Amino acid sequence: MKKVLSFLRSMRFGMVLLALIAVLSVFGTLIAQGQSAAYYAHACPGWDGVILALGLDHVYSTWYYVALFAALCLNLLLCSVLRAGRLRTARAGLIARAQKAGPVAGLDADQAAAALKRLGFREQDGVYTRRMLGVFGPLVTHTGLLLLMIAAACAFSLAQKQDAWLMVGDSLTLADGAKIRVESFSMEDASGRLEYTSVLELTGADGTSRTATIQVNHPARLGAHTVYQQSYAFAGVLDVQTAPDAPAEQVVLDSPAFISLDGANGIQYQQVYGDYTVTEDGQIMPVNTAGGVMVHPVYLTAVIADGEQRLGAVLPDETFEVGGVYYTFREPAAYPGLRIKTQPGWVLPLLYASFVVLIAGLYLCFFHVPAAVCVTQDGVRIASGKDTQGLAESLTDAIHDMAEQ
Amino acid sequence: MMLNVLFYIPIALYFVAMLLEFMGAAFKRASLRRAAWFVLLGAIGVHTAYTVLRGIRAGRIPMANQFEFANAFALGVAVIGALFKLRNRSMDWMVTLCTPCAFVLISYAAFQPQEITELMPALRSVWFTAHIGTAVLSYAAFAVAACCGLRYLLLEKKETDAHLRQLDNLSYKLVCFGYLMLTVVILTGCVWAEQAWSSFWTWDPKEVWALITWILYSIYLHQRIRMNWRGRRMAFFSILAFVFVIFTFVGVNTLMSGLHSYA
Repeated sequence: MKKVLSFLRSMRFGMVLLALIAVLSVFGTLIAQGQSAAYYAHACPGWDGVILALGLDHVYSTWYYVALFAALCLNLLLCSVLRAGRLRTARAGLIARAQKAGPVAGLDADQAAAALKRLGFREQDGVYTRRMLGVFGPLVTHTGLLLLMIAAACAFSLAQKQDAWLMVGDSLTLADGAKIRVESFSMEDASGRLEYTSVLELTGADGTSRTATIQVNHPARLGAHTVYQQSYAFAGVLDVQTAPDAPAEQVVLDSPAFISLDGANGIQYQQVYGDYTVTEDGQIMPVNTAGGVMVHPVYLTAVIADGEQRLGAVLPDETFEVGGVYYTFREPAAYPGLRIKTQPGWVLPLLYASFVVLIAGLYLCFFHVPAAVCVTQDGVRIASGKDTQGLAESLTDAIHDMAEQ
Repeated sequence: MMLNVLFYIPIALYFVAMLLEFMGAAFKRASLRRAAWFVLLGAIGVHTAYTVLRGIRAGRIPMANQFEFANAFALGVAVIGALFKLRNRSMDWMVTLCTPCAFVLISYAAFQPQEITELMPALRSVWFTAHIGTAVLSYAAFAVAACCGLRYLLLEKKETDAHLRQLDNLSYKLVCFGYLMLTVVILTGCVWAEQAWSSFWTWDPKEVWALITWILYSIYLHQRIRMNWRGRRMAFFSILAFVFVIFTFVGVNTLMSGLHSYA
């Protein structure tokens, strides 16, 4: 049992786990993740069976990848417990190491004592110490990493995400009764710069309501939910009039639909495209644009009248008269794609706290290295958490500087 | 136009400094090496001016795409080299190491699209500067550490123990700094991703390769601190790990698509 524990907390085991995680991660980036079996059969002929059998099509969620992280957590936990146990004696251990070390050749005790004070060492009973907080460095670092992995596991497992495409004026009610209503959406800011902005009315589960503006990088909180500006799309806009001078009823179309007043004659809306080309015989051919941007919007529709169907492309502001009803397509309307993430409120603070602990630990490890120097008449003995020889050289340099001055 | 011309001046100066330094080292002429040092300082001055002017013109930190990052990366390497040389006048060899490295990086930048484009909404974040700025510092530190490792391997049998130990220690210290910065890069990226994409980690190829690089340097540090690896093995390791840094920077952007494709 002792041997097993000793292995599980060993650095060697930790390094092997890290190396395996790195190797598997490489596979995850070289093999497209989450594709269909047909895709792998086409992209990696002969290897698709192996890829699917080993789960290399979803490496990051395979049991063995998760198990490696779990084992790393265990390794860090055991290692941290061991370090915490040794912490009480760490300071004394460093001093003892200095006392046992061989004397540094060519250093005079009195000069060394003066130089050590100049280098920021504190003296107690002939022992000079510096940056002793640094003995906590490795423990703080490993604890931070352990916390980070626990918080990340919580974040991955407890977060629930929901995507919603809401037209302006539409609302979405969440499971706990909270409600999101889109008041407006724009794709440019006042200066004409691309900026996706949704103005939302957020109503909490307790009924309190407020208006929030969300943009990419600026989500809004609503109780346990966070609302993100995730995407956008365009919907067709169709004016329907019973006479040319009659008031228009506006229909917003975000999916294929048949618009008709009598149920037989009307417009079959298919899709709105961002751009078009004109063929040699004058036909308009709709074209998809990058990001779905509306450069020269065009509607793909079918006019259905007296049982006949006429498919074609229609530009905004064109009017059709079908069965005595006037249909006019307008400029398409943009609407936002929102992502609503729900997770316990403590998850993100825990995650961010682990970040701070990890950074603090690394800082202590690398830039707050503890050192102890024993100065007696028979010599100067040095022990450093990192670079004993380097410290001896610094001490020698400091003595030379003082002598020159 | 003027700005574009200004970009090519440091390339020429780095090249001249590199030639002078190599000739000075080969023919053991201190005057040539001194000239190389001053040309390098000139290159850094013009390079810094170009980067600042580009930032002013763009109205943001000029590190938003492959060109700008490579440009800043080259400047970072040159500045680190110069700082070491300024701190310790005997470190002439730092110029020998950093000048070719900066020249290669800025030459790579020269082959990238150079037009100043407006930041896409996802990049307009308070985390942009912290994330990309620390990435430049981290990569530059790893680059100089790898150069120290390379020099160690090349001169292992010719140089004194003291110099080899200096190279070894310097490489280690640079890796420590680079590792801390890389950790900050990853963690600030997580905070930013949480705000922009609703998830702090998306297994995007850039993220995964940054993690792989971080793991490699973690192994480096553990082997050095706990297993007392020194010298040749560490020199090899720092060069190998830097190959991964370069792949994360160039290979991922060139060969893989993902959420960082704009970089």
